[in-house]
Amino acid sequence: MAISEELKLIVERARVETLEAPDAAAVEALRVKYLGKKGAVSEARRSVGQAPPAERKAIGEQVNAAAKEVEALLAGAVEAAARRALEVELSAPKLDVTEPGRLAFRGRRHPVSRTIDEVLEIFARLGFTVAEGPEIELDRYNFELLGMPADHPARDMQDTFYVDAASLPGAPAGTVLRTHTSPVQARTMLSMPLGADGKRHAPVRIVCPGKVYRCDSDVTHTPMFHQLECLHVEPGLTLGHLKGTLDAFVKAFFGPYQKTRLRPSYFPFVEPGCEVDIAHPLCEGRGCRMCKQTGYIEVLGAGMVHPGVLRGVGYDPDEVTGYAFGVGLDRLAMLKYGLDDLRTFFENDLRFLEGA
Amino acid sequence: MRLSLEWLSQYVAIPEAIALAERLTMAGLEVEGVERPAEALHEVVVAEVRACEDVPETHLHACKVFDGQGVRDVVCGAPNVAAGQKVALALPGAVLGGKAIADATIKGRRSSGMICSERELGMSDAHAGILVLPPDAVPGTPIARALGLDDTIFEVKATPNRPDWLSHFGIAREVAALTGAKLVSPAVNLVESGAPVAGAASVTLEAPDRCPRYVARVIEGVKVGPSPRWLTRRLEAAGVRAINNVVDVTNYVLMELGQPLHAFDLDRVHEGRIVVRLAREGESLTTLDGKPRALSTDDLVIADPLKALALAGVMGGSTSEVTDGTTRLLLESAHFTGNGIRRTARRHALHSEAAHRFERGADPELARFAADRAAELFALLCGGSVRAGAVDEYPRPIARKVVPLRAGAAKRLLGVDVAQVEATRILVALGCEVVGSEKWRAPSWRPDLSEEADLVEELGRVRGFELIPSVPTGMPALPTPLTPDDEAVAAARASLSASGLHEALNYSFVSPASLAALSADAGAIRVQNPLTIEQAAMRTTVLASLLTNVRSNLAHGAASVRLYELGRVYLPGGDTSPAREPRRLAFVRWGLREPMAPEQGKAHADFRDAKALVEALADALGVSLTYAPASDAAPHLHPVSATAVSLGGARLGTFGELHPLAAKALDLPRGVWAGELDADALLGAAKLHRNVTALPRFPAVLRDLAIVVDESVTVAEVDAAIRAAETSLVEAVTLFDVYRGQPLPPGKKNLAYAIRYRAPDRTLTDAEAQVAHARLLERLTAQLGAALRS
Repeated sequence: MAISEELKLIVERARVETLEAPDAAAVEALRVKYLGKKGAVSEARRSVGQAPPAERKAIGEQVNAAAKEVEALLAGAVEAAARRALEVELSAPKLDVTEPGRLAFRGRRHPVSRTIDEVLEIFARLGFTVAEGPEIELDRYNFELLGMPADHPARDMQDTFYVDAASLPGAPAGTVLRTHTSPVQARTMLSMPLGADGKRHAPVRIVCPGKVYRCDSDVTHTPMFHQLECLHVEPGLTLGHLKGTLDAFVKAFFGPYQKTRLRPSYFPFVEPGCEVDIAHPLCEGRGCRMCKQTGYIEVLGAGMVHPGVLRGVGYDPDEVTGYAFGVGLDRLAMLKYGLDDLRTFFENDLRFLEGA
Repeated sequence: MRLSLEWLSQYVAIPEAIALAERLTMAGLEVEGVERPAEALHEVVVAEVRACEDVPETHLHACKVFDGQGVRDVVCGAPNVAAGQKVALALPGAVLGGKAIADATIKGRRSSGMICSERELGMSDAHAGILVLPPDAVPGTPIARALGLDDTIFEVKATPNRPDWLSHFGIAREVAALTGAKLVSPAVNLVESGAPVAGAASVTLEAPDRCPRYVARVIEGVKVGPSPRWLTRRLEAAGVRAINNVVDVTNYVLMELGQPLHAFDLDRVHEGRIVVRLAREGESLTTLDGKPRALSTDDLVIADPLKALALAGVMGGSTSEVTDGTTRLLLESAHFTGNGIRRTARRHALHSEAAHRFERGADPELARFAADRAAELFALLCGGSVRAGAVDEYPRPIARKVVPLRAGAAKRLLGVDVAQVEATRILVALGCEVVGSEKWRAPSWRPDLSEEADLVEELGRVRGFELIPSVPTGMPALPTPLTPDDEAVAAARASLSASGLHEALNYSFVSPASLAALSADAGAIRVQNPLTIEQAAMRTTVLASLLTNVRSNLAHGAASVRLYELGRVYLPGGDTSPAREPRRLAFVRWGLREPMAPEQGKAHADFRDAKALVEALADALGVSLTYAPASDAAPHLHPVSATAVSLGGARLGTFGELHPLAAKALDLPRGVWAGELDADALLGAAKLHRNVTALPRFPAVLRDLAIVVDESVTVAEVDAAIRAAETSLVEAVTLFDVYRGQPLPPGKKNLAYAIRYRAPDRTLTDAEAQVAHARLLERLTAQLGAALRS
């Protein structure tokens, strides 16, 4: 058989076999079979040397052409095999995509600490800076400078934890766990510089978040809780400004539906003094079972800084006035997050914290 | 206090109950509850027993009872039921004390209703028999009306500055000021019939600063017995238990006028001589509650020449107590100053109605009027005759305060003007008197009115705070963060959250035992009056709190407990405050390393998990921490894993596995990882704003290095040696494997590092890197005895 015929047969066989090759491995086997050292095309190439010299060039060209054609067939087969393999892969059974992903533990913030952050940010927008004070406090700051000298009946309003003096060398008798954040009022005002005329500088615009303590424990009372004190002292302030600041705060914290209602009340360090109700967040002031249909819930005590307190720290109450309030942060968090047992906040039960 | 509207309306016309409650609340006298006793007696009526026969072989009686409309069969077990009586009949449908009354058959007899005892009606504890009504009671009348229980009771919360709100007349005065209605004082028609009081009693004030005034009256020929129904009903409405007519009269005047009174059995007062003095050293007194009390020399007593008779203004004594046989009374109506009463009441833990009022400040000018009012009632109700006149020792009358109220004062504090005319109307209605230009004299019953702001409050209060406008302050917003380390705190929290830790918030006090278990009880500050022993010590370590949380969560079956807390601890050595209160950042980890899920490990957290979260925290805060063994400094940690964490050479804290003995003491399992760091130092050092470095321009060469070293050689030492190599070509060092065991001999470990070499100014050749790498190995061999792993 002439070599050209032979080459034609090789190419035709390769064409059939590459078409039938099921996958990439079979195509590779064909590559060896045709183009490998002992492959059909290589065999044909070896026969070129035995041909008469005059024909060698032509035969050589025929062999090269056949080799190229087989290459092309193999390349096509490789591509076809890959395409078929991809089709098989893509039509495989679907994953159960409802199985869980690979999980990692994620922690959450405590709702009260989150509330403190939120509240501080609101007061920053309202122009207040943050002040802090000690929790183990002197009688002088917790009571005396706030209009509650020894034996004052208003001390009964706050069930006080006392520090065992024997356990704290140097602490005077009557050292307490602060019953409110109000001692920071006195501390802050006393820290204001005195002018050449001996008068204290104003304004004072502070909020103080922190832990406070009362010996009381039930569904709505825990022996420790968090308060935020607000104190604003400068010339020209009135009860109207207290209302304005409170309105701005509760609207920012709860929502624009909020409103405040001031009821006269008594705290020895303010005059006039009031308790402040806000629209109950559950019914947004329309009246519900939780607020006994009144639409309101009491959240804080407030008032104009008592002239005696101002005098006590070196201000002239005829020159500056001020307002102050103290709000229970845990209570705000309870209202905002719909919790009804305050104690839950301090049990640190993971089932609660994980859902917080 | 409990306020009877029926009683109140004797002195002032009142609006409808709910409107009145709202008005009082908005004026500062909070109405906390409204009670209508009649509601509990719905479907209970007056009935007449027409016939009553015994049910054989029982204690029961079968009665025919007329309820105003018809005759019913009612079975009654009371011994005192009898035909002809007027009784209280609960009809089917009534609910008494939670029990529904319905038709029933008892011992085969129909019974359609229940004849009630006083207890069943909620009137008293009496239940020996049924309540028998007066013969003139009309069958069919609702029982509440027949008994005068058709009343509304307010529970009002008087603030401590308003002692005048502790009586019906005092509140009536407030109502009159609020509504403009006319106030009617109780009229006193006292008939004095005996000899002058001076012959029977005298008073000596030895401590006039503690007792500025003492009024005494003498009533003779008294017969002690029960009080009439109208009086006991009013006392019950006010929440006071009726005792006998003498005690009831003193309580009645207390609840009416607010003046505490005390009646002595005059025959038990030696020579009728009252001495008001401080108690003597070693003196004692048995008070009316039967308790013997050792007196302090700061206690004021009412005495006769021989002995102390009463704890002045707080409680009477048993030796001079009025008994059934008492016929002669010495009535005390005195004024005691608040501070002393408060000290005595606290010292003896005696919070009587009298002490409650004196502490807050009684009205010194009321003493005589109240004495006369009580004397009138004694004469009326106890059959006594009142001796002429009263002893009234009041050596230095207490002046009423004069308070300025300048024009514009209201505007200045309230932000709203109050017209002169309105201000005058309000202050006059409250009992103030004009003294002169812009000056007012406060009434004797208002100890709280002492300066201008107090009067301004009255104007605002009576008009209503709702009239005060809301005024924005218009201050410029401040940039957040507000405190120097706000951002560091936020970054730390974010990092700890990402490490899987939940934020905890605990009480600042813990049990002393939990501190002891952590060897952290030295210097702990104690609470003098804790609610429980679990809250008796201020924490010196936040871990005491968190480890308690671990235990409670394990009790709930948690498979993994991961908590942190950023909070204060309390230590001696305060500077401007009694204690030092530094912040600590503490964490605990126990249990599964990863959440339970398919293909995820069930391994428990170990050292690397604990360290990972500290390292992540350091990275988040941009601080570089160093770690060293710390068994000696951390007795609460397992000595093998106890790790000291330092920042720039200063100790920040420790972490590690909880010491097995601490775990045992705290009832915790093994494998709790715990750490606590000085948060002030850590957060203060945070560098949150890091400059980025430009990307390198030339390629790096990577080389792995596996060396075998002695166990005693630490990773930190190897790390330092690699980085300190004289070549500056080492860019990064990553330890990717630590191996111990076969074929290595014991005491050796294999450390595998990936080291990245790079030259900043040119493309590093393989040959250069090879030289550097070889030098590095030589160095490690020379310094640390490292051998290349073969």
